[in-house]
Amino acid sequence: MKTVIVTYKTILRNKRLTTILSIILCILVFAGLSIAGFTISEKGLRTDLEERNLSPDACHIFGTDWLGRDMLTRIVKGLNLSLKIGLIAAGISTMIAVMLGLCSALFGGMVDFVIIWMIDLFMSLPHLVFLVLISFAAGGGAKGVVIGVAVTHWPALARVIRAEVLQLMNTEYIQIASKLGQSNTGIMTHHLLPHIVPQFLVGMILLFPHAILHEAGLSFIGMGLSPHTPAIGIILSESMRHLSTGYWWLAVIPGACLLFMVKLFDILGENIRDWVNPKILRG
Amino acid sequence: MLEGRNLSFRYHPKKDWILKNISLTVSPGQVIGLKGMSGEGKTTLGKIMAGYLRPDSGFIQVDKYPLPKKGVSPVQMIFQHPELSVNPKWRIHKILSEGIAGNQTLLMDEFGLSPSFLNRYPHELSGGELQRIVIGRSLGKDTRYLIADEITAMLDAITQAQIWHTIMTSIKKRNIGVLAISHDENLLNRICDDCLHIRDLNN
Repeated sequence: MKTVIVTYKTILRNKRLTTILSIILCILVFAGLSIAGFTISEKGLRTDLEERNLSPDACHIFGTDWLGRDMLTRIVKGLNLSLKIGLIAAGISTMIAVMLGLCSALFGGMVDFVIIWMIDLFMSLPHLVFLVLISFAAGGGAKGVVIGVAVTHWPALARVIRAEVLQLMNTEYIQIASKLGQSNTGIMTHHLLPHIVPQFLVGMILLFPHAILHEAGLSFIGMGLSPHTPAIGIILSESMRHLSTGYWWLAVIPGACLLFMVKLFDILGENIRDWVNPKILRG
Repeated sequence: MLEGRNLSFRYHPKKDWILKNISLTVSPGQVIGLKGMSGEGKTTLGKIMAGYLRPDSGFIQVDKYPLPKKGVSPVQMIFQHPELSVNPKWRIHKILSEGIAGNQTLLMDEFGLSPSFLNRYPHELSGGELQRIVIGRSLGKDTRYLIADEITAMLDAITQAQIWHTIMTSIKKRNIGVLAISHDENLLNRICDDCLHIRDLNN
């Protein structure tokens, strides 16, 4: 029997293993973040004017802001809020995309024409302007942000799913399947779904960073959440006023945290895409 | 008896006829060869005989009944590229189970394939092996006729011989009729009871 020596290098060379490891790692970080968000005490959000504008030290590792609030608490709470809003918005957006994409491909004709027209319409408008308009019309606040992000992010994914289904319906193996006696529902669940589910999952995860960044962006320009909620966008827009006075930690640390989280989602999405495609992993 | 009567077909009402008034029959256990140049309509005729395309006029009958619109078809077609004929996300055992209900290990034996392949993905098999899987899948209990459209054109001579050897024994055992489409005259002369040229069929 051949002995297999497990080393750092052999693990890195095994694509399947590294993919699964990175997926687990990403999920662990997000789980840790949401647990921290629930358990962290509200004390840090209280204003404490004696402790304002402290640079990062052992007691406040991310420093404090101009009202003496602990930045670590605010950032953890803010990222959690972003996570929640991102999840809802990306979820709704993906649902819309899958439904419209499937209808477009399976019904064809007039339905297809109308949906394609809508996709073109949504894609031709400048994204941020559209987002501001819709979230303002929907009443602003967290609800406005969620609605705004959800109804503006579906067109790209809807187009991908429409193309995927159209291409699948023309493949030889699906035509053979019906000659072998598979019913339409059988083809739908056994042939189409396994191809659509990864698109759905990956699409949703890759939408997530967009949703979070747009939420932060809307809050930054003052269209989103109310000023007292600990949200990354609000923290960043407040820090603008203090940058020139040298309080670098108010902008750099929350910005880096946001970037880190968005990048993590990107990595998660790409690894799940590789994981569900047997060809990449085992080829 | 698989019977095509007065079949005519064109891809567009403004284009020329590709097939005009073609009739041909295949009996159970018989191997009929169909040869012709590229673009003369060999594959089109095969697709019509298997029910993938509807002829503009004429009809197909199997033992005096038309081909079923739904459910298992008694006429199965095998295409040139096996990798396009299987779902790339399915393992071999699932691919086979779509066509045959019985023991898969026996079938693998019959086709000279290792049973360990059953747990693999299609891209982990060679073209010849995969084509044998595709042929095996089409030999379900309801299959009466096979349309083999250039099924060994992309393989080397040895694999071609092996595959046709297994097909011949399998179809003799099951009393299946075959319409073999190819432009390889030597191959057709070797395996066919009767060899037709599509040009002679076209009126």
